[in-house]
Amino acid sequence: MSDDRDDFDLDRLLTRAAAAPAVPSDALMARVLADALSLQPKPQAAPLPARPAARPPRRGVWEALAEAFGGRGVLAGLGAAAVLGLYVGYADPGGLMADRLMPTETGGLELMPAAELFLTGG
Amino acid sequence: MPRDLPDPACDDALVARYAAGDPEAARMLTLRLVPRVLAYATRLLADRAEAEDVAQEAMLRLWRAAPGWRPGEAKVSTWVYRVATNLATDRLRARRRRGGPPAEDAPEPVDDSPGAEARLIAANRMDALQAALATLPERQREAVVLRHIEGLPNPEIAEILGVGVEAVESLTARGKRALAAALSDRRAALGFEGE
Repeated sequence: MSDDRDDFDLDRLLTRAAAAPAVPSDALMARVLADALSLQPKPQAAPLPARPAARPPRRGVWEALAEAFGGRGVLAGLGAAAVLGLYVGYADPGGLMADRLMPTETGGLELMPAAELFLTGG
Repeated sequence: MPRDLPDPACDDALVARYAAGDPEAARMLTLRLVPRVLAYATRLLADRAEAEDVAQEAMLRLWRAAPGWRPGEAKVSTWVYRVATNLATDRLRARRRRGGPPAEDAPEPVDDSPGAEARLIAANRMDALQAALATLPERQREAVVLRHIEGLPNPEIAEILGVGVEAVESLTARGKRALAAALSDRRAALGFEGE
């Protein structure tokens, strides 16, 4: 038998062997699948449904006012000024009515000194 | 003729899905890999029951490795073939230590149905091939089966056997020559002469 003929027969034999593989039995497939399922990691728990966003805390009147006026500091300043104004209005403290701050007499002031002369025809 | 090779990216994805708890991925991997690893182990061991054990054990190791599997690092089918090769080698060595004769499948019952003669001839050819394969050194047998029956490319065989590509080429060439020599005495049994 020539080597070529041997190779030819062998190639045909190998080709036929490749075309006719051992077929796994149903029992083997079932055993393998049972192993797979018994060793399979448990699926990760599905994420909890998203909770509705927490409602923001209700703002009080003072918070709204502070925000409207530009902050707590500004609001405090305004409040202090208002209280002081009320105090000044009702208490009439003498110190503030001193002549230096609120003079009670005014001196004459001629804005147009020649007007009288003009009217009298002088 | 080489069978269609599974898409390695798909196998990677299936392993990831298996590790994530998808039972369908377990079924798909079983369907894709078990027939191939069983066919390979049967050729190496010439014993159906032992080949089934090897196939089951190789898949068991894949299930255990799945949670730590790193995609793209190794082809899943290559990894399973390598595990099956090692398991089959262990069994062949244990068989030799016991000193028993090589295991052989139980004889098929007599078949009288139509086409029985053709089937008998085909079975005889496969028996002759199996007997000839059993005469090869282990590495040559593994290389010849992976290259010429499983249809794998040499670089993948090199990875499975843990050798270089040149060593695979040498193993398959020497294996084929030895196989042809072993079969030359059984040419009549092969029944190719009239074809």
